[in-house]
Amino acid sequence: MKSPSGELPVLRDARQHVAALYQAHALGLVKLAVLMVGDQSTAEDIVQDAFLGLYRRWSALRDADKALGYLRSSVVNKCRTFHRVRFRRQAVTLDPPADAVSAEAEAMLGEAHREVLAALRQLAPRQREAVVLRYYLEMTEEEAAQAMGISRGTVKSATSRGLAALARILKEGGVR
Amino acid sequence: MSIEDRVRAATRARVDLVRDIRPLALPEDLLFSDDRLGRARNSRGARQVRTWLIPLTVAAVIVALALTLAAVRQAAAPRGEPPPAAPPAVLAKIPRYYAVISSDHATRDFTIVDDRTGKKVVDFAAPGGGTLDSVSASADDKTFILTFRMLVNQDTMRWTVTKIRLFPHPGLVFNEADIAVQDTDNAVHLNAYLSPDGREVAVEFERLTGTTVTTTIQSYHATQSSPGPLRTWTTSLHGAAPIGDLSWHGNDQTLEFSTPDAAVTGDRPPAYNRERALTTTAPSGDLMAASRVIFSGPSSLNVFSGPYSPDAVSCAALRITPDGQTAICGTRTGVDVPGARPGCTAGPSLVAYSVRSGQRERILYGFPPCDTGNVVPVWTDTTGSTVVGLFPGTSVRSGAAVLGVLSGHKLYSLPLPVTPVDGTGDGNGIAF
Repeated sequence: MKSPSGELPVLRDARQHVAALYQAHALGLVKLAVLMVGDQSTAEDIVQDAFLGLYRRWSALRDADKALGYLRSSVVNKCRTFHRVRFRRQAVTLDPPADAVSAEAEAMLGEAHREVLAALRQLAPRQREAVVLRYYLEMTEEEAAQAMGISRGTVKSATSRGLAALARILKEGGVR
Repeated sequence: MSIEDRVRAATRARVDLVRDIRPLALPEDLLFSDDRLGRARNSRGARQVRTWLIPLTVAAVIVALALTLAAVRQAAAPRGEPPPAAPPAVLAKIPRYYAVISSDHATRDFTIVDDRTGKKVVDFAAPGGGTLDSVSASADDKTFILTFRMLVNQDTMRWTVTKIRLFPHPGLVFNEADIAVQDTDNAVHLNAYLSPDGREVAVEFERLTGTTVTTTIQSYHATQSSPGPLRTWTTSLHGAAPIGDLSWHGNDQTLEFSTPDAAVTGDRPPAYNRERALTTTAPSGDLMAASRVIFSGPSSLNVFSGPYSPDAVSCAALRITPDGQTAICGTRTGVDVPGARPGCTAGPSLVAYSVRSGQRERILYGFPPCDTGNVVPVWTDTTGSTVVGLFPGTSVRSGAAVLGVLSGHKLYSLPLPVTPVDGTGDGNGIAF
């Protein structure tokens, strides 16, 4: 049966749910993606794409309460894909110019914060994800493991190695 | 402070700078979408079939390639063959996606093409019965600006300037902003040019009063909430357009445009061999007073002034390389050149001039004498060593153009699955 607006009820339901989730969580997810990929424009693309994916798969979602978890995993995965694609592109072509908005934004931060963020960008993707999820989102190891789609032990070792690498980079002043 | 606390403090300070994000765009909100791509992507069966087809396709391509090479070895290439397809190493030097306005149907279509695969990733007609007029691109390879026109009544034309962004999934575009252009009454054409960083848009339009053409350039923030023009400059010329091909320079604060290098005399059209630069922070007012000449090609090169010379060229389009050192002139030749023997002018070419001295440095590519047509540079890399442009094709006599990339003095063709609306025009219908 169609609604007066011509949409099927399930579609209208999906739209309302996804729009409500976007209202509630999109900003937080963009912030998470900004830490992973470095610039807001790409982060917004990634989050839009995650919500679009959720909307398309809404009928297959068994538990609507798990939508946020799905979105968070989706954003983490897409950030990882972004880094892989960019790495491949760097190998064969010119690296896209540094994002001007990000550079401007980070110029407003203090020197100490800029150093930490630059060091964070030098970590391997998995280590960066683990560190950000654990210490920015304050997730438990179990929650981070779910978001990253890996085991709790792997989160533990990635976090530990990530922190050690951060300490070494900051101590050596090796921020590029 | 522990390293964990430093991470907490730095990440929170960074994300505090993120405040506004764009609204959610679900499929019905997306301005245009390619349902076929969406269906294919969602279909597991289709994906599996595609996976199995890959080795078969590769094998078929190899066999076809071998047969083609064998045939080519046996038959000497006849004159006038189209240039070879650009190899991956050349494609890697240029933007991946380009936009083109096509004239294959009764209504003009807007198409985004992936030049790596040659496929259309987005294809749609102007909404609401409008006519697509021009397109330009930012430097990020996924943001474009379009202009539409619609005749509201016999005397009123409404212009729409829309900024769109290619979605992460090719096949979808997001309508990022409609820029409310103002004071465009009686404009006879309107083009919009997006700055390389995508933050500003320069709108250029012309009005006719008798035989006097008045050009206006306005700058706007390229956002939905743009309050109106930031600056406005105007200039007029009797008998011809006062400026030619407008473009942004790489620093996002400078607009460049060409102007005639000689007065318009009789029925001879002017040659736009002089390039001027306009800083977008310059006060509104007279365009010529606000801008300065940065390159002036020798006036003797103007085929339209003085006696005919086989070396004479006139720039159909002029583009300064992002490093500011070189002026790339796509030449215009033709049997309409006064004094020329019909059909035997110098062939069209792509010529590099030193911006500093105004002297010719090298001919990047030249067509044989007697060929006619325009070469329109559309995109250039920092130094002008790789240039994308519209070139006269082997079927130049029928008017068709080839989209090509010039690299290492070799011309390669790029996939062009549609007929560009201005195949031999000024390049406003195609954007890299």
